[in-house]
Amino acid sequence: MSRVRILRTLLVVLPIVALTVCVPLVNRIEPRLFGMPFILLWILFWVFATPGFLWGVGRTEGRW
Amino acid sequence: MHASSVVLILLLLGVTVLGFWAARWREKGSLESMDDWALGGRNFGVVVSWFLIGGDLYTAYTFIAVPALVYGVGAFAFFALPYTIVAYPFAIVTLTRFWTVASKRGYVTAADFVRDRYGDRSLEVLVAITGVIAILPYIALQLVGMKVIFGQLGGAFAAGGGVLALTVAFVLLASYTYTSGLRAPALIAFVKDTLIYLTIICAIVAVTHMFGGWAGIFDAAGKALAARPKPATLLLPSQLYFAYGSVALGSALALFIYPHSITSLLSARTRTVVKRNMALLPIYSLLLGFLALLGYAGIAAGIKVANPQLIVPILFQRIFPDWFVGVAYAAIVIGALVPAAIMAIGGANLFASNLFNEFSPTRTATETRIAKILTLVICAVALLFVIFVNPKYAIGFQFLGGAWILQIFPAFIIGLFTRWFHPKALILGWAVGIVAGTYMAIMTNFTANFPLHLFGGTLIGYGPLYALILNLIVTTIATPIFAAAKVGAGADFTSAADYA
Repeated sequence: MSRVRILRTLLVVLPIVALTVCVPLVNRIEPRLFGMPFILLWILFWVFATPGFLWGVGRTEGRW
Repeated sequence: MHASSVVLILLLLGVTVLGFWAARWREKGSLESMDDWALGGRNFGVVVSWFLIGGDLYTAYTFIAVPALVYGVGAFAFFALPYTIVAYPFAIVTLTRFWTVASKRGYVTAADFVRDRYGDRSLEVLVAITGVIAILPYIALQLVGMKVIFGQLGGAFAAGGGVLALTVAFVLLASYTYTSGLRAPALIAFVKDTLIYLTIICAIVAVTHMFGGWAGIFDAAGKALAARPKPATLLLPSQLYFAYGSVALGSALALFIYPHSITSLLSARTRTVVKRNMALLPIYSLLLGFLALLGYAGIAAGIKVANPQLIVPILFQRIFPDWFVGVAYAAIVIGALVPAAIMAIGGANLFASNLFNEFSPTRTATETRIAKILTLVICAVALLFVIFVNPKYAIGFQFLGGAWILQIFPAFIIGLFTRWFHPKALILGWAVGIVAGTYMAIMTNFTANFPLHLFGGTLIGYGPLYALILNLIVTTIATPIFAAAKVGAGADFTSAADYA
């Protein structure tokens, strides 16, 4: 695989893994922010991080 | 009449006018071509597509069901967020590719592609039928969501169990969809989103103010959940880790192969519009997250309901002045009308393009006429379903629809990348997947989590996903067998250049 393809695959797979496979690691109340349990903060983080990752995927195709 | 009812009626009237006026919006050709009526002229840019796809995927029923599930089971319900986020990395890879081949070869449905790729009429028909059957209960579910709201409003809205109001709303919906095609939901989606954003922001502010911060809400909700006869917590029980992940992943794989997703996706002007929207839309899930939090707020506020679906409507009545309850309820009702219209169009397209006739890139005005009439038929069937069948079954059927639509995954999504599978093997795999998915759905009483007994252990997971895995195994084993038996593999009318 070329470097670009590896990067592209990582950008696509990471959010999926973070939100499904990693659940046991983040299933906790503390630390909290604004009173929110950590498990919800983790999801909230990916609501905003995923567009960044996917923007990267778009960039690997050149024209954007 | 209550102020809330007046506000709701005014907003619904406004939306209806907008729906009919949409026929003239961005008018290019006549509305007689499929591209123009069913796909809005294939000419929507990033902004229109954002509202259309967002308004299509995040349905009103979700807005009722997710907080209801949070109210019922606590943390597990939050799978809805990973589900709707995970769908996009998957879609940006697969569906931009589909958009490209669809625009080059003139597809309106997923079954069009399957026919073109595999040269197999039976496979085309099966894929189309699966789509139509899966979409019907999904539309019915939107009606269930509207019914909840109408029942809560009382008065004329609740007359006859809400049947009168539902019928009026759906006749209007069917009429402007018939007239304006996809342009109607595209335009109304702007109103839907404005109202939903407004409602959610106000609700979050009001609830925060009421409890003096979210820490108090989570603590109170946690205590209330723990004190229940069937205790729940703000955390996932460890035996449900796999179920949580597999439900999120399996639902995400199904989300974008539903006919209505395909319809709104193919209306995008360019490949870049699709890509940008797939990258941006996860942010839409924030809204769903806030709504889910309202489920916890409802628990914390000590609201007790026999039907969990009422949690958000009742919470709105507690925290908002009456006229604004009308705005909030209108947001949910209009939020049901937008996806229902797109679903009806998506189902009708499958009928017109793949069942009535075999797919052909040259389309006639007759095809559009058939699709338009079928939109009316599909709306009528969904309405009758909700009037005569217990809503409980609508939910069960919708779950079953999800299990079925997932079985076209090998032919459709994997077919975008490789032509290795034999079309007859795909049919066999599809049949096995449908039977297995249905069996598991019945065994679990139409709930998502099937306990799979494997190698002496038990793995609780998403039944439809198990069915898809079985489908893939059968298809993979049968492919070389059919090839060895020299069964005709059909012609592939697409070329590598069509996908780039």
